[in-house]
Amino acid sequence: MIGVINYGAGNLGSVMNALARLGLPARFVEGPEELTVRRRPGGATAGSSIGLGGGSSVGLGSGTSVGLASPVGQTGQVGQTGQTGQTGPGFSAVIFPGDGHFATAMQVLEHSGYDQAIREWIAADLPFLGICIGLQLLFETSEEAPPADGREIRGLSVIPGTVKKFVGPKVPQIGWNETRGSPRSRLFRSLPDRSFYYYIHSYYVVPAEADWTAAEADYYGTYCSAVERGALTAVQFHPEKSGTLGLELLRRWAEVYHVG
Amino acid sequence: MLAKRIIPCLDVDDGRVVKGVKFEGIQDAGDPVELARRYNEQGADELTFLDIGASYKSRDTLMEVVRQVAREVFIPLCVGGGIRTVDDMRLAMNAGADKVSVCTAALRNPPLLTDMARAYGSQCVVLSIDAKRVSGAGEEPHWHAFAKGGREDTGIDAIQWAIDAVQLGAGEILLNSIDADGTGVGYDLDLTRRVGTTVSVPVIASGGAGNLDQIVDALRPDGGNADAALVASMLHFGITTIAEIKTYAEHKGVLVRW
Repeated sequence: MIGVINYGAGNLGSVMNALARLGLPARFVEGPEELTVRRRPGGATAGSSIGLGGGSSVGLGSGTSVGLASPVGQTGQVGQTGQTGQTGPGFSAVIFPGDGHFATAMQVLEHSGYDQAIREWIAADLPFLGICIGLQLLFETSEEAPPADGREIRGLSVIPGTVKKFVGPKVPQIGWNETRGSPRSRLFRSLPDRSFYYYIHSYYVVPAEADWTAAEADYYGTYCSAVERGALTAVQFHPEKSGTLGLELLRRWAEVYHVG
Repeated sequence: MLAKRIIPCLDVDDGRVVKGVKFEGIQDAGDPVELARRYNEQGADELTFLDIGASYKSRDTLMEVVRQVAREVFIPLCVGGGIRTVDDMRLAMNAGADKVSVCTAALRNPPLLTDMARAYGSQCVVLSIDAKRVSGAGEEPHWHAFAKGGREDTGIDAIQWAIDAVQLGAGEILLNSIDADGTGVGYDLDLTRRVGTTVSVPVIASGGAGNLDQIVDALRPDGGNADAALVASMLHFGITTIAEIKTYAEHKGVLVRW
């Protein structure tokens, strides 16, 4: 079962429609407690594999070794069923979609407790797909939400880096842009390269570490349009609005991370 | 690089797609769900549905059409016609629209654009301008924005209205030339280019496509330089297909999506 986080942002119905079309079971997450990840018995705690320990808000230190080749699919199964009497979360994967304003969305996430639940889910290296603002919110700061009253507005800060505004005569970018997947990306390497996905956004992410980038596109310069590490994937475009190719991306994502 | 979009427009009246000339002389053009499916298969980049029926029943029927299309067509859907309030917008968004277009309601009540942008973000708010050239021969060309499906001259300058609307919250301009609508004489390139160079949001050229060259001209940087072209009659009446438009546009150096 895929959990789709509903925090009142955007046309989430289309995400559900796309998953239904692909025959992937999905429902809206009803609250952050549904994402609570129990520690795996015996072995390493989930958090150790991907940083974010000790309540650090930046996390994912550069020294962690979650490579693109790590067998993340297995952790997905843990998430699905739980083991030896421990209850795992009811979802094998989470999709974090939406449109909206960075500051408003963060406020909603913090108020509801989803912020911590999402950090923990990602720290446990469970399959996660961010879409559009669901990509941007994973970063530390955004030009959309400049410091207010001398206080910095922080994103979920799972990925080191920031979110910047396009500088050019036509902003937002609205339409289909040619997207180049990294050959190292588990998701994009199995999809047709240099293909068009549907984008609608004014801001783009700038990861502090280049190896986060899973795909790029050009709009007043080259920018990062997808990130990937471990079981975490996030895309700036809308796969649920990107026609046949978008559906294929969702299908491949579910396949790569053994979601369903 | 961002591709130029080809957007079929379905004018829907009580559950049927219809098409007129200069906003009049309506002919039946088919079932909207069937056409949406076909255009999607042909490679449409987006679909626009405009309810041109006068009744609430017609609007409810359109919402059901949108709901059905959204379940099987995974490209952006824009819905317009009779949307007057944020509540109307919510109905359309809940049915599966990704954005709504407003025309008369925004002319009557410009802050509506701001309310809509606050509720859903500018990217969901398309301002539709029905523009008609009102300047005489030899005069500096200018256009007025018309209300009520092209029946009422508001006296508002169309280009100034586009500028104001973007400031208020419109995220895209759908620019219909009343003079050219359904006539096949070509888009109003002068108007399209002027609006496109003045506002910071994408402009969709609409009204007047009669052959492939005219569509390409609307999109070319040295023509209308629109970000997208709306096409209706040529598609509904089988004069061309999306694939044919895109093949031709590409041949003429316009970047399209495949």
